[in-house]
Amino acid sequence: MSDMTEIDTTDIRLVPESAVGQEVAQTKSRRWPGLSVLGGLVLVLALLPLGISGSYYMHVLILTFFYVVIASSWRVVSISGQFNIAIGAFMGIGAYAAAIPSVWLHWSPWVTIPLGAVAATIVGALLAYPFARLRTIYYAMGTLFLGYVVINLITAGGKTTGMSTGLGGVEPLFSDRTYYYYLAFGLMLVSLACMYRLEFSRIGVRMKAIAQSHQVAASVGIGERRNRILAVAFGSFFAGLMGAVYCHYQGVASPNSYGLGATLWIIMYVLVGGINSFWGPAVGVGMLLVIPEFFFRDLKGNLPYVTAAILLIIAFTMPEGIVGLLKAITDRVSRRFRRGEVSGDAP
Amino acid sequence: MEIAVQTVINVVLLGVVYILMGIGFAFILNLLGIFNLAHGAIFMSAAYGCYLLVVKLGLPGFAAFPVTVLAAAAFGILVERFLFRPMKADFNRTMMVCIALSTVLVTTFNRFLGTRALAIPPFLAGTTGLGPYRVQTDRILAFCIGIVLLVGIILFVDRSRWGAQMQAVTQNREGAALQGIRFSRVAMLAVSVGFGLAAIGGVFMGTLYNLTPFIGDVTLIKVLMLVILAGLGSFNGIFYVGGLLGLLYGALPVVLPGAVVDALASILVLALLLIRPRGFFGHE
Amino acid sequence: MLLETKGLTKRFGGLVAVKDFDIQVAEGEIVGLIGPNGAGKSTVFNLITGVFPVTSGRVLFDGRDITGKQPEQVARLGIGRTFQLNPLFHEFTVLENVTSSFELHPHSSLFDIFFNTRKYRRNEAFIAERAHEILHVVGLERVADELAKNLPHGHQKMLGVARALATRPRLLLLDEPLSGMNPSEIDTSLEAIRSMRDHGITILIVEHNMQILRLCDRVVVISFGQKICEGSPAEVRANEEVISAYFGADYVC
Repeated sequence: MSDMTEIDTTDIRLVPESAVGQEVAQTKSRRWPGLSVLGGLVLVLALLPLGISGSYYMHVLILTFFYVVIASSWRVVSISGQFNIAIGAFMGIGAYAAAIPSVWLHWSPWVTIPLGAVAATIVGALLAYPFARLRTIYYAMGTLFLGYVVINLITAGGKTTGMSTGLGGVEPLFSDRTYYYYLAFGLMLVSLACMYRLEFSRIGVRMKAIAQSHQVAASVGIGERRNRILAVAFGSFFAGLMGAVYCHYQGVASPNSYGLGATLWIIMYVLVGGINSFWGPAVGVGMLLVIPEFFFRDLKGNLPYVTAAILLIIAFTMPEGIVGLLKAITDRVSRRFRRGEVSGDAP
Repeated sequence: MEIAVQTVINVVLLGVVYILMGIGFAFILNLLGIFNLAHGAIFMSAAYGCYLLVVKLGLPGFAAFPVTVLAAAAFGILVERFLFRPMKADFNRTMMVCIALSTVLVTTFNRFLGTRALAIPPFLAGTTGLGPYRVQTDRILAFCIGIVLLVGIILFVDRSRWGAQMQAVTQNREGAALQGIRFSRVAMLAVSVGFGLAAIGGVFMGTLYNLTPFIGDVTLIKVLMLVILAGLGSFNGIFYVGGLLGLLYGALPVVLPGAVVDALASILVLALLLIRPRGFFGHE
Repeated sequence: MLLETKGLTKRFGGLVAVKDFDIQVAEGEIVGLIGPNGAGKSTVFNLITGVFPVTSGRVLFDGRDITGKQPEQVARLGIGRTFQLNPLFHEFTVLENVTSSFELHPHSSLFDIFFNTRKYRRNEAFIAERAHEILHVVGLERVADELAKNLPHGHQKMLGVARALATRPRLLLLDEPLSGMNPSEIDTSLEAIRSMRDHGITILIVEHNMQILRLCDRVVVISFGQKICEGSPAEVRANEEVISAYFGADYVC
């Protein structure tokens, strides 16, 4: 047979010329208005340690940075249509892959942290392969059991993992909390930049495509399995990295931090902020973690009532989360604005 | 040998608890399309509620048991009407609501009773001779009640008019509507029955094992295992798989430490799910 | 032969959906695969494109055995297809539907994409330009920024074709391109399909609308999973077995 024939599809007339409408493509150069807000926020967060050095608030912000990355990494997995209920387990794999050599072999944190990230990535990618057979709720449940298996293995791990009480004595990276602040902050910026790049490039398009229809995606050459594995590997890299850094920061790796409860709260962060928006997880962490800890700290044991109330308010009033609601509002305002512009131009 | 008799009773009781929980969960899932992640919290709350009635109010166990179950069923009606229905079966939103609900319940019992392990006092004290063995009377009673409940729930699902309506709606929502089955009423009934069954399971567990505010989470995972392995939409499967889980979690701890049992059982379930992603008894 | 199946058989449990099915499509042909509803037409497509694993038999494309290949591998080899239902990415805009379908020519590697290399930027610029051209020719440019799910049915079908064209297929499988169209839309579609063939794309069409006979060089009739007749449109029209297979079925002519 002939070689690959070069076919120029653009010449094909599918409809009579007359039926083709006038080109009215108005390229909307909508520059994101929040860009300056974002810059300001980064600046404030970068200078903040000067004011709150060593305080409890600094600890809360460090936690915030960790959870922003972890919640965002969960969302990256979710854009490929995978509702993964094992993200806590991947944090745990990263944490224990760092904690075990640190405690028992006295390896340097600078070795164990990358080790944790790589271990989580490899385990994530290997497990993603059989899980690529599962879709929708079956995938969600499968990963839920996977998380349960991981926690059970940690708990059954004997002296090596410290069983259910956790593995203490993980060597700290720094003695000063301010360094942790900047480490977590820097890691957050880099991680978010990577995720942003991934989502808004063709890789993210592929993932969103298979999430909508794996059959249509396959028909144009977008493989379902490889993109789903890629999403999980990418997400578990950041979960594992943050899990590893976090256990060096806390000095302990404990299975409670990685179980179903922890995973569900990470998902809550994303849902509250808005699962369909890149900034949703960050906003959700701010809403469910920062606001209660900063403003309702006096409630102590009653604090969960505040978070539960926030969850209910969001569930009842904002189906698309906070960012989803903001987007809807700005869209409406800008549409009205544009309409006003058009009618203003008309004689 | 006493341990063998004890184990048989444990296996059956655990199996019954899982089946009751699974059937209740499946009612809510099949009829409302809601993964009720608060199912474990309801279970835990019922156990604590019964504990409070017996220990703080001094009610006899036989009175506290039905009061707890009816209260849970009434609570189910409220939850369906004011929390589930407005969410329109949206997975993400119902998930938020369920987690808020279970957070409130866990926090409340945590605040007032602490995290230390408690136990509902036995309904009947003492032991009974069972052939050459002596077994706690309470367990024998629970065993009998468990068997009765199991038969009762089978009859309810298969024979009663309500059970038939629920199955009809499960299989075909529009068809059921055409036959004049009011969906909102059946949905309310499903949540009510589901919570009631969870409460029965909770009281059972509370009399047999120690209570902590966290037993709900562990039980929830087992219920999810049960429902998924049975196959979504299958009621029959729940009986078989519930029995299997009862066997695993009732018999294995006799020979292995608890953590190893959990690890082995969860690996087994995960393997089964990967082999048969749609469960073993589903008709999809 | 560009496409050839040999003894293609598919069983779903006890049900034989397709049995010993042979079809040949030569380069440059338009071949119709017709039959009543439920005859196994779409199953044949799904077997060729690897959506279902075959029970037995072989699929050859351009002389190569492609039996058992994954759908995305089949697409990569140059077989494009449309879908009867849900032919698109419904949450994407019309334009995104087409740009996301430019996956094979040009193809960007993960490295190029992630690090935004010059090659990737050049590819994307090319894709953006070509996507607009394709939308222009299918007449969907005006709705380029609409969400695909908001399009009327006929436009969704057109978008499905545009998506398939973006992969630059040598063989295009059209799954019921005429279903749900009004007579004037049907005329336009037939014209469009002919035009694609004229540009060198070989076409295999599944239809149960008999109007497709106007277009085909050759027709294969399938009923209950088996080939009952093959030949020119005129021969098929005269065949008694075909008429009886269609008798009582929704026969549109």
